[in-house]
Amino acid sequence: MPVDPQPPVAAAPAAPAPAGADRAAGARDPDAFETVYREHVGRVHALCLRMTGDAREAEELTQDVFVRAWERLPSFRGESALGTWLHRLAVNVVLETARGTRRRERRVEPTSDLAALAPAMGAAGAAPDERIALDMDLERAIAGLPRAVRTVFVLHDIEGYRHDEIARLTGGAVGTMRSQLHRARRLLMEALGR
Amino acid sequence: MTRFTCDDARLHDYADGTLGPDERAAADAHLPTCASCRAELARIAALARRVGAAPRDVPPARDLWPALRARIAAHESSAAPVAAAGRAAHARARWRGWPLRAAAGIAIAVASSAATIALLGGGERGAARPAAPVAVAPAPQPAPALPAATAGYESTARDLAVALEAQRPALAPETIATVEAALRVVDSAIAEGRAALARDPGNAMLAELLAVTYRQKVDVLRRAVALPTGI
Repeated sequence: MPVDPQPPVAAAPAAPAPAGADRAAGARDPDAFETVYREHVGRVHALCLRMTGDAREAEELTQDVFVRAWERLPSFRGESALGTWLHRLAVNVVLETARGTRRRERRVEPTSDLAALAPAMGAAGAAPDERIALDMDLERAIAGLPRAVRTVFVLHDIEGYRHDEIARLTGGAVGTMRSQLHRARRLLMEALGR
Repeated sequence: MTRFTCDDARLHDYADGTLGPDERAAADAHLPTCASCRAELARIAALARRVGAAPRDVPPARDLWPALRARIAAHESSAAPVAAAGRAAHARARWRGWPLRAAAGIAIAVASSAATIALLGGGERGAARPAAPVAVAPAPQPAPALPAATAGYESTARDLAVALEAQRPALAPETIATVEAALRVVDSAIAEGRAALARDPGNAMLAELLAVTYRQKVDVLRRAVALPTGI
């Protein structure tokens, strides 16, 4: 798989307010927005990938998230960090799309699809020792979870949402979220050989 | 004291720190006595460590920016080549978006001014039919396959714009700015819609969306003309 000749996306969890954000919000300048995109795409894509378990779907959703962010940038007031705002937007886009696709019972082959991603899992262009070390067994196991269970697991255990927040986002009951999380962990422990 | 029974779910809650104080104390008392629960708790903790080590940033396998930029450009300008968007879905999203953006823009622009509440208020809300089209003059610019109804709106909009212009000196500057901002949004949406229709003249939905946008323009103009002056 060709490696994109671009710098790796910096994993900067507590980055200062990105300079591009203000410019993009004010002028909606695509160049400034590219800065926002480059800074946050890894985070958004990771969420989309794990929530869907499907690389192609994750790419499309990642684009959808940033298109929506572009549309809504003028309403971003900076009360929250841009990254937090984008993350919430991403969760909403993924859940909305899932609600739409569930009706069509679209079936994916997450495991093989994720395996195809493996060579790129090291950030494109990164030096080998800087590459993102992905635990592919774990990622495959997460991708293999039933969607509803996976959603709760990813939001709670990876993204740090509380049960009541997940219940609100998904329209489920807190007790259901809790039991789905436990089920997800049991399935993962089984899949990973305990 | 609460008694802790060997319960998988409670062990997860214990690991998550979400047990109440009594249950937690019961679990603390139980665990040293139960090898099975200790082993399960260790497995839960091991999984948590493994998940905790998973990177929060996973860049996509390919650079999505070029396609994304094309989609953004398509949203912003009718001049952006549709083909550059890469997928037919993008093109669909594009024309699906413009009347909505126009409506949103109007709502924002109008709501931002207290002086122009009348633009949205009153019994006419929802009565967005255009005035009966006056004699339709020939379209000033080439209008490919514009529906007849749209031509009517265009003509009505022109008349209303003239009426509004006559009223301008009596309107508050803030009101004028608001109306102009709303009209810019609608006009931009109309231009985009016309361009989309020019590319796909047989698309009935595009024609309908364009008509809706024209209706919005006429509606804004009618409300603006009906505004009391001197506010």
